[in-house]
Amino acid sequence: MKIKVGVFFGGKSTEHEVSVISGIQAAHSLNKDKYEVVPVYVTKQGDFYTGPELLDITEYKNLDALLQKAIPVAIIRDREKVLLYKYPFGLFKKPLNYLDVILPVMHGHLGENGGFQGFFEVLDIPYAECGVLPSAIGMDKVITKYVLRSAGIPVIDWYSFYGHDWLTDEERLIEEMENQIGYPLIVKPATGGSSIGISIVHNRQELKDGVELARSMAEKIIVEKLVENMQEVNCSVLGDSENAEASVCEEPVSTKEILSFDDKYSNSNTKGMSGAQRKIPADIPEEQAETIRELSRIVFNLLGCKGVIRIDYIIDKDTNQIYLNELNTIPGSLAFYLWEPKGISYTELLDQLLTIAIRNHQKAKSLTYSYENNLFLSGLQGLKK
Amino acid sequence: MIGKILFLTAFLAGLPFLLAKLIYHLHMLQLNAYFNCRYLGWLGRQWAKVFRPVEFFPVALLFVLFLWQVWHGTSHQVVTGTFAFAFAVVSLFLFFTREKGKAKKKLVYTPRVKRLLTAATILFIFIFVVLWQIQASFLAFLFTLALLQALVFLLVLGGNLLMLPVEKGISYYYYRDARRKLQGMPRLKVIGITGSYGKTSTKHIVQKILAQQYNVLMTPASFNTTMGVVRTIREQLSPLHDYFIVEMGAKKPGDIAEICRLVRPTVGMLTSVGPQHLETFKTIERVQETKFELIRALPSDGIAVLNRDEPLINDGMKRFENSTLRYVTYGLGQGEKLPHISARDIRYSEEGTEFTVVREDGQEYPFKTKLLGKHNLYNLLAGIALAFALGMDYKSIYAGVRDIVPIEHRLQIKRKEDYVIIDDAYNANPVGTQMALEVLGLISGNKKILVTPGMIELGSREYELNREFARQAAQVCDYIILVGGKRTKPLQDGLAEAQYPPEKYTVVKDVFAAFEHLEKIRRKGDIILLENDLTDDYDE
Repeated sequence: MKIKVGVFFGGKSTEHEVSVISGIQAAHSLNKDKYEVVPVYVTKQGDFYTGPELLDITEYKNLDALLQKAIPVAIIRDREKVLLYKYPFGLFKKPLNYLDVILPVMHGHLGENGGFQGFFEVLDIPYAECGVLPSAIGMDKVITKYVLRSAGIPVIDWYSFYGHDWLTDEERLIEEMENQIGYPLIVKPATGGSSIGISIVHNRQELKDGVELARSMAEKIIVEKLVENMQEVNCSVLGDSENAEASVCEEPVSTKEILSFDDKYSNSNTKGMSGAQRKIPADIPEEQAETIRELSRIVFNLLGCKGVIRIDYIIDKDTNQIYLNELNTIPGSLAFYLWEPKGISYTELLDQLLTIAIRNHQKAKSLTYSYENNLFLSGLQGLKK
Repeated sequence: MIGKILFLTAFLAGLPFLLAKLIYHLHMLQLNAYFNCRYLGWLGRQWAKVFRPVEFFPVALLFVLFLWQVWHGTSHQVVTGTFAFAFAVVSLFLFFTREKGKAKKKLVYTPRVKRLLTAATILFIFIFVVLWQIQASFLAFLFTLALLQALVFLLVLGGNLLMLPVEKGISYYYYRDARRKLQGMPRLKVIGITGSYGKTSTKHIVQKILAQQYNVLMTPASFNTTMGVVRTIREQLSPLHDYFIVEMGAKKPGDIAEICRLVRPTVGMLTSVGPQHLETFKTIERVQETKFELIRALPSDGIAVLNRDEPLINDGMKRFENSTLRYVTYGLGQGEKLPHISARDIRYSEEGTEFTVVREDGQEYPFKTKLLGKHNLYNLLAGIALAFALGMDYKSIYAGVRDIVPIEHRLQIKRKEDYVIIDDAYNANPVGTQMALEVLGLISGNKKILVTPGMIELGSREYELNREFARQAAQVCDYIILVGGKRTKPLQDGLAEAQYPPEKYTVVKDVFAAFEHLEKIRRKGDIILLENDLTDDYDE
């Protein structure tokens, strides 16, 4: 009997389309002798669908027609099993399918911020990639910085505020940003990925425009000092709390000052993150690459990650200082291209991710969550007195 | 026996064409909002297309057979059979060669369409049951079928008439359901907004401001009739909402009172009274009366928010005096008595408008918004007046006003590297054009450049209004680009009349040439106003 893998993709996120590409790519790369793919497409409204046609990327050109063909489902936990029911329920409801393990390939928002991870926890089913806590920390750029700085990991100075503060206190915020950090600045929504809503600003007017853009995408906004003479380097880590390994370093290549969404995903429409332009390995001294790999392993452990993550760094070329810039707990294309140089194929990587998921779920299950005494009997007697 | 089979086959062969036509006509009825009169009007306009002569061929064929039978006083098996066969062939031919619809909006199989289809089918069956009962000849059967093919609209009209009481009943059920839902939400406060213009913008503004503190639902875009409100209530309203903003449209007297009977507003906002839909209202007084139906529907402790600068609203306040109501008025403060909320120190800039609100007790509150133009200022004042009346604090109102964004191409500010575009390309009316020019005149910047093809579809006054537009533009613009030579003739005349120096304007052939030219002449700090109907070609 094959292991049924629920591949989750889509979701209510600005990175919906990227996730669809990554998800389908992963589903096709799974080892079909061992695993059986059960696609679960999450619409932009948050509804669940399943069906084989969801694995054909060309179908997404006409989403309405696709959703007519696919089957809307409800995901239900029933005595140790996770079942997919056609929804709305028929007269004699029998489950359509069941899931043994989940492979979430969702970028941004609920799919990557711990929301779906919490849902999987409640379903009590093994799932690949990070748990609730590292997901939640990684998705909030401000919290990431607080946590990492307190652990002594170098991060770039920042300033953060809420969109609502901007509406009422714009002048004060601008002054504080100018005084505390100074131009050029980089403005980002605190909870977003894929460079969407990010702008580099050199003066007050651009700052205002940048904040307006970021404000429309997240409640919290983060503003950082722009490292002008910079080099971007990314590194992936694979494993769990017992064993973590760092990949080679990559250097994304961009014509603009920062890697924009277009650079990341739009160059090649079907390849997802793997289609972006990059140098592997990154053009940095081996010594520096080793430092980054070591740092990556430390951060992976510090946050209690599992599965595969990608950590983005910025190197200030004037000072050679390395800064940790961003955490991606579900990286685009699951960062498989960083593992191929190590001889790990995408199929092999996915197998490892699912194995890690299942083993960690077993481990968590063996922990004690209940005592063998009946509080209701003894306790209630106590209350009666 | 063979004759019977042949007839039955001919009859069945006639059905596909009938069904295809029936569905086409149902579609047309749907596009005419299920109104028989509008559908008939459509038939009248399109009769050449709807009643193609070739479709009457089967009728003619059978009529010839009928004549033959009368002539010979008997039916002849072979002749009849041949005609029936011909009928079948022609019907099928018509079915396969029919015009396939390439309509923009396809027929949507709503429950109502399904009901209609059922009704038409029942009507169809009924006709043939009657024929059966009176023991009509086979020829009569075929002839009726052929007639129905040609005149299928009768089935559609009949079916629609038949379903009328059912549809009424269903609407009434929905209405009752919505009312019951509302009655189950005693905490919900309903805000009614009406006016000849400005009500939609005001609705959006009120929503944004109240949303700073409350959970607000508003009726969507064009849902401003009773059934539109009913649908919003049934589909979107939830116990989580604190306020329900209802935009109320009126096409005839009593429309607003009808919506009010359903939603029972405690706040009524009246933005303007103007000469709209005069074909049904006849007089402006009846428009005024209809708009005031909202104010008169308010409970004794209700709040009426009124635009004081509108003469017909001022007048109406006296005509429909209701002393127990709490009146909150707004305006820009001309006239002998100040409104409760007025604005002064109005400054336009490339970031929008800054203004100071003055309350009747003299308290002043500065505001900032991305919106431009006097009409928007009125709508903002309406929202601010309401928010103060509901007891919201200044800081929240300020945040709400700051958060409002302009509608695309409606006096929308677009900042470029070192110049500014004011995009008013959707505007088509003279009042809006005048306000855009006013903004351009008051905004601070280097050169003020106007790009416009002029206004169209203004009927007999088009020439005069465009000439006037040019005369006003001559006073505020440092440079003007006219798009289209022939089209902008009235503007050219207007500029000449105002003795506008010829070197300060140019006429280009299309919008692309306009932008090319703009690139050559614009300098740092310039303000460029894109006015009127440029959207078809121009989009960044």
